[in-house]
Amino acid sequence: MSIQFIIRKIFRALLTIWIIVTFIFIALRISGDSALLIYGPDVSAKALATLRKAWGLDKPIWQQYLIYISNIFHGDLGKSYLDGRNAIKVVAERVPKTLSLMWVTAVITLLIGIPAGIYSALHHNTKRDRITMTLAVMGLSIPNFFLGVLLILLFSVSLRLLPSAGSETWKHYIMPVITMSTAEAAVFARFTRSAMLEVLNQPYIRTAIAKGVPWKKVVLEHALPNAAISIVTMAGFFIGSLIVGGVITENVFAWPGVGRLLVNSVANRDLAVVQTIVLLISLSMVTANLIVDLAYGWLDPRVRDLRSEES
Amino acid sequence: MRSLSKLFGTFILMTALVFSIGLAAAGGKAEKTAAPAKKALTRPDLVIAVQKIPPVLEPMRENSNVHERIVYSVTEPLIFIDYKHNQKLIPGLAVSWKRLDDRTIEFKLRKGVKFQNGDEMTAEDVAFSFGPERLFNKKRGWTFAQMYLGGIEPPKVVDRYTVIIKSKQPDFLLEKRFANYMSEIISKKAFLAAKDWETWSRNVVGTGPYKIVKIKTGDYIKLASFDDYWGGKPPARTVTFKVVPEVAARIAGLKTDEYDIITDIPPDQLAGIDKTEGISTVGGPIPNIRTVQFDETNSLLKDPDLRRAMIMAINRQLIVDTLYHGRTTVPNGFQMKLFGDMYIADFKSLPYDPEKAKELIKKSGYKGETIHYRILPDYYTLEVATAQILVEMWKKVGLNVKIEMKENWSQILKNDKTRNLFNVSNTAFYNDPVGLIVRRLGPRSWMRLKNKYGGKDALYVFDKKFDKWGKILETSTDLKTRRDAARKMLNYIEYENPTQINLHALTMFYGKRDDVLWTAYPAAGMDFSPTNLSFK
Repeated sequence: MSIQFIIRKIFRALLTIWIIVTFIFIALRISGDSALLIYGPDVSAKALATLRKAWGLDKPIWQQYLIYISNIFHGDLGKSYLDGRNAIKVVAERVPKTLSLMWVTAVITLLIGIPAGIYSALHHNTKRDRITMTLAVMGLSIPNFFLGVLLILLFSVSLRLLPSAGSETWKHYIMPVITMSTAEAAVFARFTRSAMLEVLNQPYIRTAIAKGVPWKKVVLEHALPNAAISIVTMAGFFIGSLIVGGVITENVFAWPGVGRLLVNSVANRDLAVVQTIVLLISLSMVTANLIVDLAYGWLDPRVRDLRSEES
Repeated sequence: MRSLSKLFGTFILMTALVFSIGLAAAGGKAEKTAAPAKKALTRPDLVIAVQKIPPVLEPMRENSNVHERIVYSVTEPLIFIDYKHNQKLIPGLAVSWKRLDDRTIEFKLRKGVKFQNGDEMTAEDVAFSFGPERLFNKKRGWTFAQMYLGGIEPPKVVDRYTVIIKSKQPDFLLEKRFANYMSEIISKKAFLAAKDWETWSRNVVGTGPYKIVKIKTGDYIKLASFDDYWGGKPPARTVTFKVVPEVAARIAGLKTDEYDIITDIPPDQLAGIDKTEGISTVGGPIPNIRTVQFDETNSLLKDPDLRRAMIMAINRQLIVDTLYHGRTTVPNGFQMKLFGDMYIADFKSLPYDPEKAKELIKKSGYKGETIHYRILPDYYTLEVATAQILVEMWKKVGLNVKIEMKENWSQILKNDKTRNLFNVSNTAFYNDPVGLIVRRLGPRSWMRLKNKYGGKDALYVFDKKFDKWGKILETSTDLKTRRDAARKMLNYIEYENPTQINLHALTMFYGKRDDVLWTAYPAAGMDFSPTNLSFK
């Protein structure tokens, strides 16, 4: 993999982040007035003017934008309008809670979703395949808010086994993780199944079988590695979206994460906080996809060779 | 197999990277809150599940129910409102007060009252609390209290326990102003010692029964008993306001004993809670009227007959009986019984009369044009359901009203052809028409002002006589003259120039464990002091 290729990818990633941040910057400012939203219609004209001046919103939007970009390079993402604290601090105190939940969710999702998809593909068009895929469709179809409340009623209210909301102990993780993993694992199961089926129908698999390669070896060493590219692509999107992946689940289980903060901040047009979260999301999304891109070459020698030729 | 391990390795690498970005941003480990050890000690830890918490607790800085709810336990005003006895004014941090003239009041302070930092409260603290350094904080430029206390001069300290406060103009409501939310006394020393306004706003020091332990924005606010509280030892060891945004989760937590009290219960959930053993609902109407405002400057609604028809097409009692199961009330005009002597009991608001409404519509020359009704999705309790019912009722008399969902107040107030109807709630800031009708529709209200900064233009252009009556209400001390003025104002906005539909009193319902003996007041503040909280 050439340095030139990596530099090109990083440049594209930075360009993507810049476009996202710029879009959000403009969209937030033209769709609502922060001072009015935070202080309500009762606020006086004089107060509105003072607040806008204090927050720099009295300047033309292009000037605000230049200041914002310049501040980013100085590590200053602004202050929350709601409580005056540094936006990075406000977001950062939520990130660990979200990541701790998402990390567990991601592991469970992949541990269930990928094997289920492989299992289904290997039993293509049998009862086992249909049962697995029916379960996957069910998992995908149940809305998070419904499943979450259902779990609360069952495990908290009826059985009194688990706490209904909060994030303090390991027990608090169980229901949110089940809620989020159910739908995500279903997506991975369906996706893995399709990828595996496509690979299993390739001539080289038939050749391997004809050569007398044991079935287990065919699957693990020939089929699965070739299906991996699609699965890694999906995993890239999935992991990149983890930071705000659970807005609804966070609401249902009162999980004090970034998703809830984002919704609240958008509603109040707490600009600095929204922009910080968006920056974080785009950074994680772009980074995850950058790694996926780089991983293609590592996983598939053909891609690596092609890139070498291009550069 | 090598490829499999590559696949796994890629996944691990990506997740580890995202994880490390988060940790780096967080600058350390996630903070953990200890699960409350319920009822473990002599004094219990009280946990209240709320929909939202405020980011700051400086009493003058916000104007919201979620803020008032918690501020009530931390800081206190000079005069208390006795919610259990018809909202009578009773001594608070002041043991007595007297009017020196129609714009001056003298307070004698309670001796021996301690702030939560251990200092004694004196007249210096009172003067500072209402002084320009806090009320007109220059760095910040704005405190909400300016709207209610902006008309007073800097207080004068007479001696350690006496302070005189003067209004710039005659003020009938002076005592009530100092009994209200945002009139709480804070420690001058603690305020000046705080690094800045932001730090102070999260570390307020007052005289209330509970002191701030921690504000974890968007998660919880924890208060601890202030054992030197002048009103006696607080009954709870700690009080935690825990954010649980979903009502279903709040109710489940109440049923499983995770929470002692839950707030913001929609009316359709009340019966379910009351049926469950060990828990029940409390609360009801609060001094706030939910209205639908007309934009009378909009050409479509210019004709008063059309607006009268829109009022008469609505069966408000039916809405209260069905959506609210009868647990709130239909107001008699833009006023409340809480106004006491100033309540005009024999005032008759426009009745529900669909036939008369049809006649008025015909008379107005309405030709079926679309009337736009802007709403925020359930900003107010049952807002969407209520709006849908209203639209159907209007449809029955021949009005074509279309609901438009908006995201925020900027969009609701944007002044264009489609600003016809929108929802508002109106708190009676004082138990007097001045706190409702003058505050909301008087010349200083945002509904009357053209405000280029807010992108708002006036909704109403009133006859001068309306403001003349308002002035009488604000300054006169003669009951008959004031009642007469109030009646004329009510008539004006209901019959002569209809400004709004007074739908119903807004409600505030709570669920609580039966072993928590606590009374919900008809106000946002939750009182957990020794006089209003105990445990079975």
